[in-house]
Amino acid sequence: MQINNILFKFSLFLLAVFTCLSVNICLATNKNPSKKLVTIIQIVEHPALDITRQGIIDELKNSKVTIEYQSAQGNNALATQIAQKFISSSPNVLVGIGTTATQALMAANKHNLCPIIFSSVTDPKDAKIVTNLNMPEGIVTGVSNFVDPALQFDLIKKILPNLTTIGIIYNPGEANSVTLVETMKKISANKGLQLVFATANNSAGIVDATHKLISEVQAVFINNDNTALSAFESIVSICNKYRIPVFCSDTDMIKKGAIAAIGANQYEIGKQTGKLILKILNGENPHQLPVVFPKELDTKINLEQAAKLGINIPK
Amino acid sequence: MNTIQFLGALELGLLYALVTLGIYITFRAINFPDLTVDGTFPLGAAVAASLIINDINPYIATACAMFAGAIAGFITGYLHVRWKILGLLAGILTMTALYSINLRIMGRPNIAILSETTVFTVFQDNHSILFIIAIIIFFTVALLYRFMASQLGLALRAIGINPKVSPSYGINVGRMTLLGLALSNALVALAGALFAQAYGFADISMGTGTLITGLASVIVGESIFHKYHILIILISCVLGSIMYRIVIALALNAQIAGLQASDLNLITAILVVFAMLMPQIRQKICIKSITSRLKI
Repeated sequence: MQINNILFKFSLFLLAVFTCLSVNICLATNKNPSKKLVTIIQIVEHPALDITRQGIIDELKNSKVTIEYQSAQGNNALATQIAQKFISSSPNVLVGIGTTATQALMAANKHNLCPIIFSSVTDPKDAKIVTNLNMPEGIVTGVSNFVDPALQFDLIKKILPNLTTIGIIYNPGEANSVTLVETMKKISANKGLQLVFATANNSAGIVDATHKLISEVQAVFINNDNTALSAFESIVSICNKYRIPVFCSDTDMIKKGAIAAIGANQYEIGKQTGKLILKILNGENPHQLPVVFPKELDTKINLEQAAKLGINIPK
Repeated sequence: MNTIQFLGALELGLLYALVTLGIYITFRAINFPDLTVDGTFPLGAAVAASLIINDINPYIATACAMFAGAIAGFITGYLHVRWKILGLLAGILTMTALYSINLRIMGRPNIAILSETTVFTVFQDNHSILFIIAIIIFFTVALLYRFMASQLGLALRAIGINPKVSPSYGINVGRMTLLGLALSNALVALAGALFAQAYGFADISMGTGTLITGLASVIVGESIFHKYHILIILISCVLGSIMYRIVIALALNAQIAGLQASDLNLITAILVVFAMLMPQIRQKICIKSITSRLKI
């Protein structure tokens, strides 16, 4: 009796699975084969990444492509499942926004079914996405958001010529940030700057990190760290109290009280990604397309904030 | 959902079945709400990935990952048993500490092992991952069944059912808690190590949601099958995990119905709640039909 019951339930389970499967095969396949399909997977919802995606979508607007988009909501197992779903719909181009999203796509695309374009990955070489930036050997290429910190340090020095110590807040769990911190450490000596680091594992930890820095530094610099950017207002409000200027890599943060920002324009990165996608759709091979770095750097200065802190901005 | 997506869900479901079995051992068998797993999953991945990029044999790397997981579980147990720290808190403490430890082990937040030799590169076949994970799950379930039916396993399950009476049968509750936690976390770390090798990377944030996924899978499995027999319970953990992944795959396809990408977590939660309510609804219908028949 019991065994019969279990067998019955097990067969019901199998039946349910296969019904779902067959219904979905009918739904999923062959929607519109003539139209080209671009699938975008983003690792997490975040203002900088969202605007990159908008750039991609805007760039593709005029060409007749269907765009499908999914966010992995910060969950890696989910990213893998989304990647599998996308590959099964055999799109013309797979797009990964963020490092782990791209890695998930590459793992699911083991048999090299579709070309992959990545976007907003700071160090594609270290993440083993490509090994040769000028001639990607696989079917993967894309746009990096790496900006040379030397340029940013130059701007900061221009505004504050007497600056010697600068504080940097970052999340040691973010691959992008760690890459930038390593680069900054290397070049800071040449620029006559001493770096002081404070780390935070999540946006709630940013407040403590800022308090730690306040007494030790003359300025704070946030360089493309998603955690610190999410809690940017808290950094500014604490620093304002102690009259310490905050510099930033994200030009959108000017509105939120950064004194000056120099960085890649995330929307432009999206646009550049869109251009690469169009090239692939027109039949070019990822092999011939070198990895693109941000073409233009945005520089913005918040004069109001500078006046508040009593800083003269040289022209 | 189509075949590739179905096989992908099956693959992930079988992989996460290791997490589900681990969570079954703590939450159900020894009745200990262990939150360490959100840290042990990336720990397994971190240990395996770090060893593999240093050219250590992937099998040894996977074994080391399991061992590291067992130690993490042991620490949670030790904090609870020896120092009487609340079980929930002991798990949270270990999980929090593991974040820093995982970063130390990896040396950076993300390690890619896409081109390295892993336990899955034995056969260069389309479905080698699915095949190997299925074999691993088969042996894990078989071994766990043998263990759970042994004297030691029965003692382990006894402390979950009645920790007050167990000592009078000569069972050391503290020691059994340590054993259960170490075993559970070793399984979760194994899942992490296999995930990193199957999908080519270890990332510091990959533990997010491990506990929720595992617990939901345990409950989904329980709601389909009743607790007749320990072997059936173990199998229902595996099937529950596969079901959970299939639910997510279905939710991913729900975009056709005008839902947004960000609705996914909500849809998943609703589908899981629905799966859990099924037995109760069924029971009510049964009772109604019986009572109506009796009236006639």
